[in-house]
Amino acid sequence: MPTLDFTHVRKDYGATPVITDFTASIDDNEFLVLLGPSGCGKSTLLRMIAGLVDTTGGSISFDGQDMAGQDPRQRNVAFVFQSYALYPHMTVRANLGFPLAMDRFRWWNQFPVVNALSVRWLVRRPEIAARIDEVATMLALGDLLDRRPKDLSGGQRQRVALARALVRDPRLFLLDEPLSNLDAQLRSSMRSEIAGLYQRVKKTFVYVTHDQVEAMTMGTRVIILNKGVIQQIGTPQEIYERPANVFVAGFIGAPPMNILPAAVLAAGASDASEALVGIRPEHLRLSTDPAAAGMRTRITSIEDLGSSWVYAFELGGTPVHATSNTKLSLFTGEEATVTFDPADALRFDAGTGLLLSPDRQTH
Amino acid sequence: MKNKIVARVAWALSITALVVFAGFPTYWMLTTALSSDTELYKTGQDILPHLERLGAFPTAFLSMPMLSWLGNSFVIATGTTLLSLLLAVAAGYALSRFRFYGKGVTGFVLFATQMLPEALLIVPLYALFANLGLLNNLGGLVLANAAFTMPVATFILKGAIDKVPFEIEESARVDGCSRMGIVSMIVFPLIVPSVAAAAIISFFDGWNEFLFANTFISDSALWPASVGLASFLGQFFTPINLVMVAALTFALPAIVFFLIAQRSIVSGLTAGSVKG
Repeated sequence: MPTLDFTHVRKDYGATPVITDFTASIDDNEFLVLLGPSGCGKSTLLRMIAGLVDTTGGSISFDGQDMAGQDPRQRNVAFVFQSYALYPHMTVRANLGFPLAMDRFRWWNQFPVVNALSVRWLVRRPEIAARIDEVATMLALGDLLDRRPKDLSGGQRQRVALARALVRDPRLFLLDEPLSNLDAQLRSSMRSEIAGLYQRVKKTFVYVTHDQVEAMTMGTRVIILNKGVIQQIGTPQEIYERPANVFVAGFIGAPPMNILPAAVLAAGASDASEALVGIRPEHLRLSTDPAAAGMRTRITSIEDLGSSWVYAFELGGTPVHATSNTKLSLFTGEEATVTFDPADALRFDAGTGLLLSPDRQTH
Repeated sequence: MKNKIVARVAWALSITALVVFAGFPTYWMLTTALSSDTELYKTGQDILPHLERLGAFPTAFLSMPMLSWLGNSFVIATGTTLLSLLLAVAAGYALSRFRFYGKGVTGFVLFATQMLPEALLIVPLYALFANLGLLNNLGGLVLANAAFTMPVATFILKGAIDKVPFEIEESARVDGCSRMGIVSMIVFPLIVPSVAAAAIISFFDGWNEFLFANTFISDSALWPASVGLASFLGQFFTPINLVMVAALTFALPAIVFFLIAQRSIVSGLTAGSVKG
């Protein structure tokens, strides 16, 4: 049973459409990644799931129940913000206890002053204190419970934000670029931590990112968005191997897939048709042998990444990248021959940019 | 090293000069308060205060209804501060966070109230207060003063609320916090420095206010200290030393309030909440 359904969801800010006709289903216990460039509407979509932003059209339903008019609290979701969004005047313990205290609020707790005192009192109650300790232990925050956010490092703050999401046992976890403020090393370790957390809690996660490494390594399924429109839905492997269009092909992979204009000759046909050919940099082979069959080019730059090398050159005026796991005896400015196996190439429609098929011979 | 010493001496001298400049009027008030009528009106006032006459202070203080006037001033200033802050937090939050028709005009109208001098409004306000039975009423003065301090407080607090990251509020909404809870439990603690600044402005405005109090309150038992002090000015003789005794006691509570409130004016309360 799908836990989350989007049916023709639309969001406009004034006259500007942000999401146009988004229809998708997210299965139970899935780790779905919404991937796309900045401004593509992925964070807006996450906020609509949480109920922080209203939809302009269409519907979002949880387990078949339409969420229209339900506030964030009624939806029972947890949200991890890109900027952590911790309560700076509260200790880590109070930050973690706050959602649990809210669960126990009655009408008379809502009055100013009374509410703050109630939170202090509720956070000390045995069942809440025990739950805070349990989550804090799970995320190695035990020693930090009495500190305030300003006394924590970036990684620790992010763990507190995760713990706060975890503490109330929500039915859905929404994470909005949670690692984008961390340095590369910390990001890598937090990536593993979130993946481990998903394995432990086995709930539905919706994770927004513009970082394809996070999408490819963490997601069970990925939705790629551009300008508010779904470009492709699939597993990371499917998206990498069979991108639905040239946008996806150019967005996934570092360096991205090379897209070259080409004339395609179908087997047995005499007339060639125009198309775009996509080939991953790792599928291109470079040779210094001038007699080798293939396309001749001149190397314009070489990037040494330590474990692999990226060679840049042009083919027919189009910039192209090739990668190799072994260092080739090639230097910048030197001539080289480029070859590839046609089976590795994908063919896209020259007009629409949509994937046609990978099994055609190209010239 | 030598340059450092010169810089420190220059710094100390500048600070001393500033302290003397700022503190001299208060010192002169004390000296005047401890001078006799003869010294003030005939022989001339001494530079140094006659501290041996401090014993006469309570007698001079009790010879006038200063305590009850100070009490009235306190009620007016506290009422003005509380009412201004209550309205200003709500108005500042609305102006900062909500989009509504006429928002720009509302902001301008609040600002425009500061362009009108009190003297211009005193006649229509008198007529209004007479109709509402608010003359000779401390509550009426609180309302009149708050009308002038609230817009200033609103602008101060709106500016502070603008700087509170929006995500903190969204986070509280996801946690199940009501709007009132967000304002009182999340936003308010983060704008305490600005609330303290607005409180100081409102309190001093209410404490020092003279024109409305002098016009709307005719019963001398309900006078605030500002009006009480002015009543010492006689046609033929003004007991300046007594006025200074009263003025010193009038200044004291305001100074104490300032010292308490200024401790809250510290920056960086939102540090660590969001990355930035």
